[in-house]
Amino acid sequence: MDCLGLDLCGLPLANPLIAASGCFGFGLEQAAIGQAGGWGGIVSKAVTAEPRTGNRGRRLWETPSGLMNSIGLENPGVERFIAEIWPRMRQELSSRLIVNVSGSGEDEYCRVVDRLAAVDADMIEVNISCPNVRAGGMAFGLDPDTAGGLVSRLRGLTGQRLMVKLSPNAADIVAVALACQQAGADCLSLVNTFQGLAIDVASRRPVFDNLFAGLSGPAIKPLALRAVYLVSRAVAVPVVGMGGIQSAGDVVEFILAGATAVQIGTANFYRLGLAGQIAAGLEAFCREQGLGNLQELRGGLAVAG
Amino acid sequence: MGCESRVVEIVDNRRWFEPAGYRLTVTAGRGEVAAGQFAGLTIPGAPSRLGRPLAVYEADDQHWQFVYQVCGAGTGALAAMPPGSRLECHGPFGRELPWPGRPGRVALVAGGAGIGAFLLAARHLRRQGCAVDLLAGFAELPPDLDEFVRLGVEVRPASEAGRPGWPVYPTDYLDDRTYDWVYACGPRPLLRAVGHHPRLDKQRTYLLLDENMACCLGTCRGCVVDTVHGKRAVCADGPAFPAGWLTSL
Ligand SMILES: Cc1cc2nc3c(=O)[nH]c(=O)nc-3n(C[C@H](O)[C@H](O)[C@H](O)COP(=O)(O)OP(=O)(O)OC[C@H]3O[C@@H](n4cnc5c(N)ncnc54)[C@H](O)[C@@H]3O)c2cc1C
Ligand SMILES: Cc1cc2nc3c(=O)[nH]c(=O)nc-3n(C[C@H](O)[C@H](O)[C@H](O)COP(=O)(O)O)c2cc1C
Ligand code: FES
Repeated sequence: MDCLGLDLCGLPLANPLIAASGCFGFGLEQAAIGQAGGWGGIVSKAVTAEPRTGNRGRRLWETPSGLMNSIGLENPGVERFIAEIWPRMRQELSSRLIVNVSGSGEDEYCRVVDRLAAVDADMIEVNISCPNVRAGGMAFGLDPDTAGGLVSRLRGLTGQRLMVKLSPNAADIVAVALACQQAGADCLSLVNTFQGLAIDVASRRPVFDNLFAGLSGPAIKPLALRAVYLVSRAVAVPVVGMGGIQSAGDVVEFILAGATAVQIGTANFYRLGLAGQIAAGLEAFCREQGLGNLQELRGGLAVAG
Repeated sequence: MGCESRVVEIVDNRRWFEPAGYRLTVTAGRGEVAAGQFAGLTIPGAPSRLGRPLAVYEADDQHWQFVYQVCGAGTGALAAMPPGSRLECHGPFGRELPWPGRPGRVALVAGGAGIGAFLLAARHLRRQGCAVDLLAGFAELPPDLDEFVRLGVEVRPASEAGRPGWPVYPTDYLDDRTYDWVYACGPRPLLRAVGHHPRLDKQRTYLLLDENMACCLGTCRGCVVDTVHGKRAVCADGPAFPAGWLTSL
């Protein structure tokens, strides 16, 4: 019966579908219109130590089958998150709740994680892969030593489950993954957005004030699958895969590539109530394939040779 | 309530004004729609997958109508869809327009397809006892605006192509009458002209903004504008804002 349930480093999830950070806000607007259900988990928008107003200029640009964004971590800051947002999330959302944390330096990440001891989050996702801020963010996810250094400091601060979110812009994402595992990450999520460039021909200027912005959506799915395949073969901790997922079939691909669970970001902008539909699709898939549980397929990609 | 994604069928999709202005009717029907609200339409076959935001022009128990201008791949593909085709429709999103608390004289200033936001607005304002003028600017000629006339709205047309007795821009009409409240929807230059108009009270002049959108719920922070009260999301806090709030118009 329960073909979708799973355990993600000790955390039981009703299904492997997790709403990705920045693409579901704090879930409250969706809850208000009755469209927040169906998720195994929901990841919050990135939370930083101080409130941030985000980037100037254009923030969204659609490309064929993709979306570029340069939001720049606009968020109310950890204190307002704890006082005003978190209690409502717990009350209004029935999924597992994961808090995404970012910062412009090691100390800021530490301050936020330290303050989050005040909430009973099911997991913390450490965002070392945001390409849209000038300081911090992705800078921590490009180099194995820097990433490992940050994760081990955070590990020393908290007993909460830590999921570290990797950047596909790293020269060697497997090396970063291994360093994070070594430093005490409970699981890894990947990928965050790919850095790209959009050009406005009429003005001969970049579309985004920050020059580069992050590409997400179906356009990145094959690149993301490759990263998930490589990382999940190299590490022992669970991998949460993402990048361009918009259907049950896409979820199965990520699980075959080695993911335990998946996150879904941009596709939330294509349709309200997506999780329920994909979960229904996955249940039908399990029935058709005679699977007791979807996890039986994990890492089951049949590679020649 | 009633904000959801649903598959709708095109009942009618016709050229309504030149150049490339269309009027679309789909089966939607469920849920109340307030003036100012918009829907997202996912257009099959277009390279874009995000719903194209369009103001709901008219809504009844069975249908929603839209007015749109072809200006890119999505609206271009939409214009080629015959009656009977299906597409996904998301919403309604956005807030109801802010209303004057009492009767007075109101101008609805529309540039091209910007008129799409104003039929529901005109109906509401007339019910509130306001005198309503529709200052409607088009590149060439306006379509038949009898729906507005039947509501008791005075239609004041303008044409960039030039017509004897008509001004070139709808904003030219703002000089010869005093309006207590003004709503404007259309291209940026029109919004700027209205927002900076010396005769208008900036707190009673509402501009309906257009920004690129993704979530349409206020959560992704992709469509924000700078206001005197900080960043505001056009999709969820708007689409209408008092001109006096906007710090970069
Ligand atoms: C709340 C809201 C209500 C709207 N209501 C209507 C309406 O009733 N009728 C109507 O005709 N249009 C309306 N629009 C504008 C409409 O959404 C865009 O014209 C449409 O999305 C263009 O899609 P496209 O795929 O044809 O163009 P694209 O190929 O995406 O773009 C064509 C050109 O327009 C620019 N562009 C596209 N979308 C936007 C945007 N949102 N902001 C700024 N530039 C953009 C692109 O940069 C490009 O240069 C509304 C927009 C918003 C935000
Ligand atoms: C508008 C937008 C905002 C995002 N904000 C965040 C964020 O705050 N923190 C984060 O870790 N990832 C953020 N992401 C990245 C997504 O969580 C996800 O990793 C990425 O979009 C790839 O998945 P997708 O193709 O399913 O969207 C954001 C993505 C988008 C499109
Ligand atoms: S479109 Fe996401 S905040 Fe407006």
